[in-house]
Amino acid sequence: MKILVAEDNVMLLKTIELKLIKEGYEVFTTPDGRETMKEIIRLRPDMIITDVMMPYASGLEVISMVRQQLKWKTPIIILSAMEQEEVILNAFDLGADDYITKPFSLNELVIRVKRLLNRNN
Amino acid sequence: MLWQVISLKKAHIMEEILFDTTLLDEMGSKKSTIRVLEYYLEESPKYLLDLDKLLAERDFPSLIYKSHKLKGSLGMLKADLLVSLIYQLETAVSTELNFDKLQELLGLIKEKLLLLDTQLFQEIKRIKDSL
Repeated sequence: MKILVAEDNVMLLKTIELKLIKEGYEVFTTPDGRETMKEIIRLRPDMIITDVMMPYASGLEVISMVRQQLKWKTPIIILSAMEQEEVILNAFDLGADDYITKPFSLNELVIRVKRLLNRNN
Repeated sequence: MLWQVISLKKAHIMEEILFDTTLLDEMGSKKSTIRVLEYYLEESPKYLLDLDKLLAERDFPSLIYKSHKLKGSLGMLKADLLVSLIYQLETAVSTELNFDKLQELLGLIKEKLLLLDTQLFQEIKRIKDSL
């Protein structure tokens, strides 16, 4: 299973990457929204985990591209801060499947990833 | 705002441990915890420089953005005092824009960030010694 993780905070990105690799997933990472859009098309991942606030293009723009332009149903989890309630609502409106607020439990993230992947398979 | 900063300064003396690796321990490997702590320590000096520069340039949108990103790392380290201080900085930038207060708050944040770095270096050594 290929998971693309988009996050411009290196520490968070590496934390998620290491955890998901340990769980047996093939993990790809991108540091900004523009790169994420390119990698989504190139890799066609089974899941996308994306931050909201990223350089060049936001996580919301990434969701919009996947759902409206590509018309793909790839599961998408949003990483957001506690105070970004409105953003989370926008993300769901655009087609995000789930969200997790920072700081988060890595075990909880893995449960959410498994649940979504199972649902889609 | 100012009295809050001062009271926080008094309440949290140097010996206080500013972090907790509970969340990082969920990676299930001490080596992974060390790697992530090292990633934070690589990024930390850049954050210090950036926050200083952005405040000096009065680039407040970028200051909020950088603070927000730093808060993400600090949250995973359960560095609650620093998260609270960064939140105060974000609020102060968004609502008050009193430059002296911002400088004082940033000074306190920098002091605590440096202390956190020291503590994290010690933690890495402690974990490595236990392997």
